[in-house]
Amino acid sequence: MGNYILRRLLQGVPVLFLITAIVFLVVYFIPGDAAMVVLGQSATPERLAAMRHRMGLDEPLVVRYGIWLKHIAQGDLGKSLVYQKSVWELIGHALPITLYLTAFSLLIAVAIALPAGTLAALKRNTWIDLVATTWAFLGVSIPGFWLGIMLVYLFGVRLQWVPLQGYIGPRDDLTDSIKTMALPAFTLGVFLSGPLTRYLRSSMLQTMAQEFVLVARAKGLSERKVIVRHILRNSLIPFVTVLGVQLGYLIGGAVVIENVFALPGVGDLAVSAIGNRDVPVIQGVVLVVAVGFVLVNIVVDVVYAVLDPRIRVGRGAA
Amino acid sequence: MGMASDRAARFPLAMRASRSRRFTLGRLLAGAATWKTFTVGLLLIGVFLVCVAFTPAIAPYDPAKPNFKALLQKPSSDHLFGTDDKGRDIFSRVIYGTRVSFKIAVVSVGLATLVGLPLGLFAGFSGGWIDAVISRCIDALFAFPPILMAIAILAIKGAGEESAIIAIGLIAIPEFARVSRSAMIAEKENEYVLAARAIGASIPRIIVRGILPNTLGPIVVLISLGFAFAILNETALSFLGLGAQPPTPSWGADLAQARRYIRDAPWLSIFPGLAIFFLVLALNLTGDGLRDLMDPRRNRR
Repeated sequence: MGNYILRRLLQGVPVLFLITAIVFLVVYFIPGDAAMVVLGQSATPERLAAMRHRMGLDEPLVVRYGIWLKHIAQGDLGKSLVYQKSVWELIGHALPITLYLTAFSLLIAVAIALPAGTLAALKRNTWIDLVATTWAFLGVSIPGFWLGIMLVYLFGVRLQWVPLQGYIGPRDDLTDSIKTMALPAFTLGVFLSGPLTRYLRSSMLQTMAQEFVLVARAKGLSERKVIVRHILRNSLIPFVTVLGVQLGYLIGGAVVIENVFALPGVGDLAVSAIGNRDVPVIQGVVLVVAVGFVLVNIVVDVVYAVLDPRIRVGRGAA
Repeated sequence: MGMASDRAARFPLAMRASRSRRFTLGRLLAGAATWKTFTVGLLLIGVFLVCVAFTPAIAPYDPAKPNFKALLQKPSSDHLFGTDDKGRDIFSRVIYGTRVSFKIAVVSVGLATLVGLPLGLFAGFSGGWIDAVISRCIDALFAFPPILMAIAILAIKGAGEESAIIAIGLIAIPEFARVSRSAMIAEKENEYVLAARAIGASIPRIIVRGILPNTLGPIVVLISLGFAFAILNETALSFLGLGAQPPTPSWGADLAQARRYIRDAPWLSIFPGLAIFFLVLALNLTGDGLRDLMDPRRNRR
């Protein structure tokens, strides 16, 4: 077991390094002179050269990458060029909001996909199946930001059930906080529920065709037990992997949805950083999110190995 | 571990048919269902293509010309979809927007295909450490949420149509490389490849003349689904103000503008969104239909 976890972590190392390299190179190619941003347009060439030297900008690419890696390893993502704050501080404020949104929408997506996928598989070829598969298809075809605007119109403008925009933290007022988050989370959740429903449905159909299900029925288990203990349980394992993979899309979607609902999360931070050409912030956001994604997927894999011995024995090396 | 054939999952008739062997009527019906999604998708795409080809003939007004006598009008026979805050005809803007979206999607998917496809085929054919290195790089690229990666790329190039094309194309490369790599791996073990090598055919020739035509199925499906993905990304980036810039008629950018009038003029927000939705739906239907038609045994995520 420990062996498997170690192996999985080691596999993640080159990927994490590549991620830092990609982020570093993206930033390296951003035009503009950081020394000039600090000193201003009127700086003399001598002072600029001195500043470049102080900032390490005159070092070769590899050396600069090494220095940057050292800084990240020490938890230093640099300072925003626009706000007089460290990048960590800005991300620290924005990230919880994004995580709140993604967690809430994940909950909604699973709450939709779990019954929809299960019922569609159990009652396949009925109207229930048709509704579930159509929903899944529409879910992946609707642009999230447009769905968000339409929901704002329906529930905010027309019915006035929820405030139109704005963010209220769960610690300030939990009820109001959930109210303001409900629409954005639903918008994002609908999108995710599509692929999840489809996946669960086909994975259940596959399990149902296996012989152990026949055995379970033959030995006289109640239908309910057969479904919950044998079919659903065995179908959920691949379902959770897909969840891990979809997380990247979820965060990507969150960036846009935050904009629709004026939520001050990392997406909002990144978009405004582009407008301001605030390079360290862009770099920090992209790096933190990508590293987080890889770590979450490692955790997901490890959790499986704990749940399902077949993985750590059989497919561990894959 | 193989996944259930998706055809079987989605078309139970086909599954039953294959179980009971020669039940041709069932097979026929299942085939028809696939054809139906495919045909509906293709017809819808056809409508959009007509809009692209005959834009000026279809659009009744100049999409960029303000008309201060007709501000924020409701949909009517004069203005089918109403007018915006500058009196511009929404219907005309939606029709012209089709061109902008198509242009960005075609070029970016083309870019992803040109780079991702050879990369994946090469990795799959080579195997060994070359494959390992390329695969790790693809893994790393997958860790970046697409929109966020596009934002990072736009930071380099600055917002605008051309940057959006490059950003959307680049974020699609890993998917193209991954699919073509696994198609290649599945194909290269076939005996005809060995035979071609045995008679001394060069490797590029084997790939281009032998393997590529046989892997075309998944690749064509990928391109059509990649299109849907590109349209969604393009409109999202334009919505964030990072893609096509006003006054260019663009569905995403128009929606961003329309949002301010959601209280008084909701029709501004409805029609460009519907256009995106129907185009993406059409592409998804076509892609899914193609997948089932081309290779019934192909597995799906």
